[in-house]
Amino acid sequence: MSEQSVPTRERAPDEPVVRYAVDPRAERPPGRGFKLLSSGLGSMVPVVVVLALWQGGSMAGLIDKTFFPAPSECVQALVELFSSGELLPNVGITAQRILLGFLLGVIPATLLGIAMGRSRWVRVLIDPLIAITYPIPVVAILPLLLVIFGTGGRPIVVLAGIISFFPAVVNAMSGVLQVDERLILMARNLGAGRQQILWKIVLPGALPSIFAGIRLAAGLALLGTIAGEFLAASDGVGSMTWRYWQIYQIDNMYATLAVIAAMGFFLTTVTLRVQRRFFSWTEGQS
Amino acid sequence: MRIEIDNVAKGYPRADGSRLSVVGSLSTTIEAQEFVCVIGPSGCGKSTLLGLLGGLRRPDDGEIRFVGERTAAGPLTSIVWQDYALIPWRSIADNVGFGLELRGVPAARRREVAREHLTMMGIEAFADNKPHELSGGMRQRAGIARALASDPEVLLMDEPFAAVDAQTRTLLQDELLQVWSKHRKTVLFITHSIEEALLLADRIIVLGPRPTRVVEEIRVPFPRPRTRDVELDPRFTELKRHLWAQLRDATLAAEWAEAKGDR
Repeated sequence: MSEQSVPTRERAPDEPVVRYAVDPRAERPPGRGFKLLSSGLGSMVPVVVVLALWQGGSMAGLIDKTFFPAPSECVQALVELFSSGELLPNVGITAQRILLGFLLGVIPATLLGIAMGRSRWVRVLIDPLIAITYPIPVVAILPLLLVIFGTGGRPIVVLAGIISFFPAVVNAMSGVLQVDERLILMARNLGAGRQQILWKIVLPGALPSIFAGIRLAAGLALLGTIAGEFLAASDGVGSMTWRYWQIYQIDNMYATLAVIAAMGFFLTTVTLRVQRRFFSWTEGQS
Repeated sequence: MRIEIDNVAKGYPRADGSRLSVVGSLSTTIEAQEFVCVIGPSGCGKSTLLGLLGGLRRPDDGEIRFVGERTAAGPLTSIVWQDYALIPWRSIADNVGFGLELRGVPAARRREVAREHLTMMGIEAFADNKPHELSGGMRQRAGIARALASDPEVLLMDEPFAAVDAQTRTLLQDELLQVWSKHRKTVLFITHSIEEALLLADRIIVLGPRPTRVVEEIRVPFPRPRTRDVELDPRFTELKRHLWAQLRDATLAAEWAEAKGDR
């Protein structure tokens, strides 16, 4: 073929034109300040700014110190609680309750959720029970738990267990139900039996959802434990917070709150890491 | 193996309680080592037929017989799916070895067979990738590799190239012709492309609108080994025109039925 091009008409001088040309503002890459703030360490900047404002406001007398003692005083209180040996044993007790409650809730919930996802009989029998118990604020049954399990750690562990049960069971079930039907058909066509479909297709396929439920459950186990300790314990970090509020040592109260926040942060970070490490493939589909 | 489809009927319950008859008393025979293409208007029950042949559903009436000695080590059929149906959390090699895994073939042997078939399909470089990292064409090559590595008696292909772009489809058709000339498995290939059917098949079965029956069976006269040059044969154009004449009215009827909500 020749390289002859199609002849084009000259544009008339007065012909109207709409131009789409380079716009330097639209294509601007993120600047240095934005990059700094969005980096790992840089994301601490807003936190530090808020703390600094709080500290300054408190020192300047702009904020009522009885309710908002300066962060420096809270840190000092934290150090004292730590060095007096009061803090660590209570952190240990609370951590143990969270862990026990979490396991107590999540293990049966996951098994039951998988069974509900696999069998419509189990689903039709269990679903109504979950539907009527789920909306009950679990903390409301704490008195009942105290009646059944007495005082001490046990009702708190059970409370944490019940509260973490629900997201785990619901997520496990919906994870199993949402497994790509085509993959099951594919496996059946190649001769897979029920067990093989469960272990090779359904469980791995449901795992991201099961794990999302477990992450929620971990957070709720913390919530349940702290709420239980507020109301029904003489030990644990939650009971410390409650007691320091009652005796009006606000700086100590803030110190224990910071410890609880740190525990929550730890749980979220660890579980998120695990999720990113093992379920990276969920970002793409078949 | 020879497949005898004997007065097979299949329907589904509708929401209002009545029954939608999808496949209605369909009979045909597919000879061993034959490459048969099935074409028909959209929604005519081609995929239902494939599900019946793949053992995923049982007919309401009639039966399907697979006749002859088993010669392959694997399942009776393996399906190549339109949307690939690769397991997203497995590597391509582990996907290709899946059929072998299901029947307890040891891992080392699985890897060997998988690699062999990946090489055959020209995608051995992607053995360790996950499916979502591959293009549609590459995924379907893996789908074909999986089906063949499972070593079935019959290969069932459900519009396998419908989801890839036109250029890639051309490549995949040529590759399938080459691969098939080596394996010579019995193939039932569902398509809505007349050209594709004429290029690939020994025989074309034309299905009518629901409830589906065989409207016509055509022997494709082009000798093998075949290339794309068959498109230049005047008989190609002639057959294409004839098949379209068969399909045109049925396609229109199917569109009307769909618009009326009769699905």
